[in-house]
Amino acid sequence: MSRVNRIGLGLVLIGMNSIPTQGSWIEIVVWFILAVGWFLFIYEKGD
Amino acid sequence: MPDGLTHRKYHKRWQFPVFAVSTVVFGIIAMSLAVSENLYQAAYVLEFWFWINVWYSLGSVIDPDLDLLGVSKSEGEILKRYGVLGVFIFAYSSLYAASMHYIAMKLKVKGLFGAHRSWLTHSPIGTLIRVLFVNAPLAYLYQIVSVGLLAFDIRFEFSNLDLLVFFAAQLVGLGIADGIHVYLDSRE
Repeated sequence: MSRVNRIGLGLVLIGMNSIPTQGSWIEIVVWFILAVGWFLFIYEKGD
Repeated sequence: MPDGLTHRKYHKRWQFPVFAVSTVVFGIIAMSLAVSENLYQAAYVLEFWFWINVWYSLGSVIDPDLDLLGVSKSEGEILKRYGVLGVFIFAYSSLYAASMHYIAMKLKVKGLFGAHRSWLTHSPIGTLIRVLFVNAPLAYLYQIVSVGLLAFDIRFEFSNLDLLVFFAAQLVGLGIADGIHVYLDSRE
């Protein structure tokens, strides 16, 4: 697992801990953190 | 005939464009909703965006070629990546392949080696069938966990709207991945 993947995993874990706050700006930010975190988590360099 | 490696290469190549385009589209929709005080709806739009990207990336292993009897490239990847869990997933995906093979025989669907590359597996119908196949054990697991946690006074449940968003995003995310797969197959 590369450094980028580890940062992504960290973001996903942080995001998952904050999901229950519904209908607030925090939830909006959390979904951004989760999506970006997921993308970094599965990112692989090159073909 | 593109092999599993070619499909994986193209799937990976499209990961960033799918993420970037969906970020722009759903980001704009969500932000416009959020600014007009509709935070609840904005959150659901972003939830949809998140699950689309998750399911698109899982589309590299939950792909139309799971209809092949034997070990496909994606099944080899599952066995390599997920250890003991991969063995169970492989057994389950083999059940899918065998079921598709059987249904193709019964319905007289023409494909390669049975159901392979037929409309039964390489079409939106195939995507829907795979989504149902994936969701069956997930729903069972969700039921067990939510009932089990009740014993400890912990409520673990999702609203119907959350489940609907999850299901819709699953169809779209896997649909995009399958669309790329079928397009590559059709070029040959």
